[in-house]
Amino acid sequence: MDPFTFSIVLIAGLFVLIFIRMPIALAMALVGAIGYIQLSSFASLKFYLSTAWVDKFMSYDFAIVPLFILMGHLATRSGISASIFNAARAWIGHMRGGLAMASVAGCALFGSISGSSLATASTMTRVAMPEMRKHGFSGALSAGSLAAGGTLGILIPPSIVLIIFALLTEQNIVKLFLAATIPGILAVVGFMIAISIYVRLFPEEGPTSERSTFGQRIRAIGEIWHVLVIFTVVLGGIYGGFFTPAQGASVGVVLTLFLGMLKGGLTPRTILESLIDTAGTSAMIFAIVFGADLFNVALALSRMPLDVAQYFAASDIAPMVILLGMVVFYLIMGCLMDSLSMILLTVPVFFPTIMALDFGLLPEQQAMWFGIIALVVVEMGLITPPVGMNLFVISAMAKDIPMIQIFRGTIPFIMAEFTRIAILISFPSLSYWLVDLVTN
Amino acid sequence: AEVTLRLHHFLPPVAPMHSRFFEVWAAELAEASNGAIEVQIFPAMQLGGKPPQLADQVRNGICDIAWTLPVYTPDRFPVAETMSNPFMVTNAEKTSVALHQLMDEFGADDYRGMKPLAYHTHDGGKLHTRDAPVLSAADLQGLKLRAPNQATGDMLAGFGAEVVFFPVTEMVVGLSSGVIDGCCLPYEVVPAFKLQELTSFTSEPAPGARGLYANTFSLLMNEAKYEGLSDDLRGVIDAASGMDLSRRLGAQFDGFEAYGRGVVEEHGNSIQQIPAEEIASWVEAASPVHEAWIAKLNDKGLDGAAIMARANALLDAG
Amino acid sequence: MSETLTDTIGGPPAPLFRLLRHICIASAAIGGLVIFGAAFVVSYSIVKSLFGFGAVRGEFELVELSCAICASLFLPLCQLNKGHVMVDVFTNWLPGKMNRSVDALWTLLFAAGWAFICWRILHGLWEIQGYGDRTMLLRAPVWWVYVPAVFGTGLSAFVALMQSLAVLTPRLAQRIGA
Ligand code: NA
Ligand code: NA
Repeated sequence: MDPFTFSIVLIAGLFVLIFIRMPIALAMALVGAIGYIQLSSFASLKFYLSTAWVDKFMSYDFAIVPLFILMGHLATRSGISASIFNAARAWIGHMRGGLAMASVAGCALFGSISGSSLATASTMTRVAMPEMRKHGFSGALSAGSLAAGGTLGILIPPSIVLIIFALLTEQNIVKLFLAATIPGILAVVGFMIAISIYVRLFPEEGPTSERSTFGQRIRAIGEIWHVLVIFTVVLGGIYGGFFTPAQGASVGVVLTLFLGMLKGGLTPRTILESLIDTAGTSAMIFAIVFGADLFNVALALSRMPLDVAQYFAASDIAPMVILLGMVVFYLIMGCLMDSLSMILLTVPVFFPTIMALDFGLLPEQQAMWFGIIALVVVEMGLITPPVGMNLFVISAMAKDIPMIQIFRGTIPFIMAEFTRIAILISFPSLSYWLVDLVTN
Repeated sequence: AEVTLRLHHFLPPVAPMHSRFFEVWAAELAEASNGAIEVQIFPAMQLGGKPPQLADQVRNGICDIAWTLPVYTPDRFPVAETMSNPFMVTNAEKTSVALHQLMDEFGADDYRGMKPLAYHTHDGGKLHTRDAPVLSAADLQGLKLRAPNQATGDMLAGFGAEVVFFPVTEMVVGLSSGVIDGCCLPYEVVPAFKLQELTSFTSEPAPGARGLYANTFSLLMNEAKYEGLSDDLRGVIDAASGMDLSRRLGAQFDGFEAYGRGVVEEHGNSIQQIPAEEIASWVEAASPVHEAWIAKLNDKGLDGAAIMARANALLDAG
Repeated sequence: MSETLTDTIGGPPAPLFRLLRHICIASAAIGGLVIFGAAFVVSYSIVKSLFGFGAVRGEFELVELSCAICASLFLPLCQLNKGHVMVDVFTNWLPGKMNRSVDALWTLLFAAGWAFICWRILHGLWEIQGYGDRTMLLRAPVWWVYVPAVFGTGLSAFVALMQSLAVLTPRLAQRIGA
C-alpha cells in the first residue's frame, strides 16, 4: 500500500473507531501510533513518546488554555451571571421576546470573559431559564435562545477553540481574537433578529414583560461593572499590545478571583471547585490535543495533506467550491462530533489545502478568514441535533422541556447561523478588516 | 526513489531557507543520484517535538536529516556553540568555514552517533531599537533589550542594559507595545517578523569589526542511515556536504542578510554605525564572558583556551 | 460526580475507588494551584514592571513549567470521571450492558496506552536528567517536570485498569476489594 492510500485507510479507521464509542483522544492516539509505526518504525515511536507529552505542554503559548479555562470557571462560580442577566433584562427585557433577547445579550457578556460555550450555556441557563419560564416563555424558545447564546462563549473572544486553531496553524492569537469580533457581533444581531421574527410568528411563546425605569437600568449596569473591568483590562490589554495573551489570561484569573470574592460568590470552597472543574475541562483538551498530535504526525509522514493541497491547487475546481465542500463537511460532522475534535482532525488537511488556493487575499487574511468560518461552522454543531452539546447541557438542566421541543427551538437560530455563514463567506473582509485597522 | 531521506526543520515553508536552500539542495541530490535519493522536507516541526530536540531526533532516526541550533540545548554541543559567543563572527561565509574547520579539529565528540553534513552561522546581530540608536555603551544603560542567547545577554547586561529573553513571537508583542525597547538580531530575520515596522533605528558595528554575536547551525544526518547507503549514494551525499556546503550556507546567509538590510533601508529606518574604537572597548568588556566560556569548555574535559585561540586565529585568518 | 463511578461498577463506590478518588482530586487540586500560582506571579510581574521595577526574572519559563505540570496532574481525575469526549449517537440504541462492556474495553485500552506512555516518559526522564538540560534563566532542571508527567500518566493507567476490570471481571474486582 502506498502512503497515500494508507493514510486514507487510517482516516477511515479512525472514524469507525470514533463511531463505535472509542473516546476521541484514544482513537486518534491509537490510529496515529499505528500509522507512525508503519510509516516510520516502532523504535521511533518509542523515542517520540519519551518526550512528546512534556514537550507539547511545556509551552508558553499553550498555557493560555488552562488559564482561560480557570478564568471562565471562576467567573461561573462567582455568581456574576445573575447580575449580567439582570442588566441585559433591564435594558431590553420589555421588548417583544425581550427576556430571550436578554438571555442572548447576557450570554454575549458572559462570553466576553469566558472561553467556553458549554460554560456559557450552563451558567446562563441557571439564571435565565427560570425567569423566562416564570414569565410564560415557551420551552422551545427559552432553550433555543440559551443554546444559541451559549455558542457566543466561543464566538466572542476569548475563545479556547480559536486558541487551539491558532497554535495548530501558527497564526497570531491576538489577531484571530480581533478577527472574531465582528463575526461575534453579527451572531448576536442575527440571534436577536431570529427571536423578534419568531415571537411575531408565535406571540404566545414569548410575551413581553415589565419595563424597567431609567434608575433601575443605571443601577443594573452598576452591578456588572466588574465584568466590564475584567473584559476591558484583559482583552483591551491584549489588543493594545500591553499583554501577551498568556499575561492577559493570568491577569484575568487574578481579577476574576478578587472581584468574585468582593461580590461574595467566590469562597475558599467555590474556588477549590473551580480548580477541580478546570482540571476536568483542561485534561480533556490536553488528551485530545496529544492524541491529535500523534495522528497528525502520522498524516505528515504519509505526505497526504501536502498531496491533497497540491492536487486541489492544480485542479480546475473553483476555490469557492472546495471551501463550500469543507463547510458542508463541517456541518454534517457537526451534527455528530464536538468542535475541538473536529478542528484538530480536519485542520492538518484542510488548512494547507485552503492556503494553496487563490481567493485573491493575502495569506494572513486568508488564514484568518478560513479560521473564522471554520470556527463559526463547527460551533453551529453545538446546536444542531442529534449531537449538540449545548442542547444536552440545557436538557440536563431543564428536565421539564422535552428534547423535541428543544430541537424545535433551535430552528430559528440555525437559520440565522446559515445566513451569517453565507455573509462571512461572501464578504471575507468582515473577518480581517478590524485586524488591518488595529494593527496598521 | 531507492532511498527516501526525511529532512526535518523548524522554519515555516515560506522561509527563504526552505525554498531557497532545502528545496534546491534536495533537487540537487535527486539529480546527482539519478533519482535514487529522494529528500522529503518536513518544515515547521511537522514530525513533532520542539526545535531543541532535532539533534536527538536525528540520532534516534525519527528523521534522517535535521537542521538545528546547538544553542537550543546549552552545554550539549559545547564546541559547536563556541562561535555563538559575542564578538566571534566576521561574516557568515568566513565564520562558517572557520566553524567547520574548528569542528573538524576539536568537535568530534559533539555529534557522536551522528553524521554532520555542514556547520554554519548567520551574519552578526545588529541592535534594532524603537526610540534611539545605540552608538556607545552609554546608550545601552537602562535599555530594555531582548537578547538572542545567554552569552550575548550577559554581555549586554554588563553594559547596564535590562535584558529579557522573550521567545521571538512575544518579542514582537513587546516591541509593538513598548514593553521592550529593542532587540539584537541579524537583518536576515527582519522581514519575517516585520521588525522594520516595529523599530526605527538599527545600529551595526563599523565594517571590519567583529559582529555582536551569531548563532551556529548544524545540518546533521542519522549515522546508521548514512552508513547503510550504497557506496555510490554515500558518494553523492559526501559530494553534496562537508566544507563546501558549509561555505555555501554561510554565503547564502550573507545574501539573506543583504536582502534584510535592504528591507530596513527601504522602510526608511535610520541605519548607523557603532564606531570601531567603541566596538573595541566592548570586546574588552566582554572578555569575562569569553573567560567563562573557556572555563565551561574546560569543565567538559576540553582544552578551552586552545579552542578559543584556534577559533580566533581561524577567524582572523579569514 | 460519584454517579459516574456507581454506574461503572454497578454498586456503591468501593474502598479502592474512594481512595483513588481522593488521590485524583488532590492531584487535580495541586495542578490547579500550580497554574493559579503562575497566574499570580505573572500578574505580580506585570504590576512590578508597570512601576518600573522590571519583570520577574524567568516569568516565561515559570509559565511553561506550570503548564506542563498542571497538564500532567489534571489527567487522572479526567480518567476517573470518564471525562474524555466520545461520540455515542450510533451506539445509543444498543443495550446498556453492551455499551458498558464496549466502554470497559476502551478503558482497558486507555490503561495500556497511559502505561506505555508512562514507561516512555520515565525513559525520557532518565535521558533528560543525563543530559543535565536546564531552563535558560531559572536554571531549573528540565527533568523535574517529567516527574509529575510520570505520576499523572501512571495514575491514569492504574485508574483506567481498575475501572475496566471492575466491569469486565466483577468477581475479580470483588476479590481485590475494589
Ligand atoms: Na468567549
Ligand atoms: Na451538532
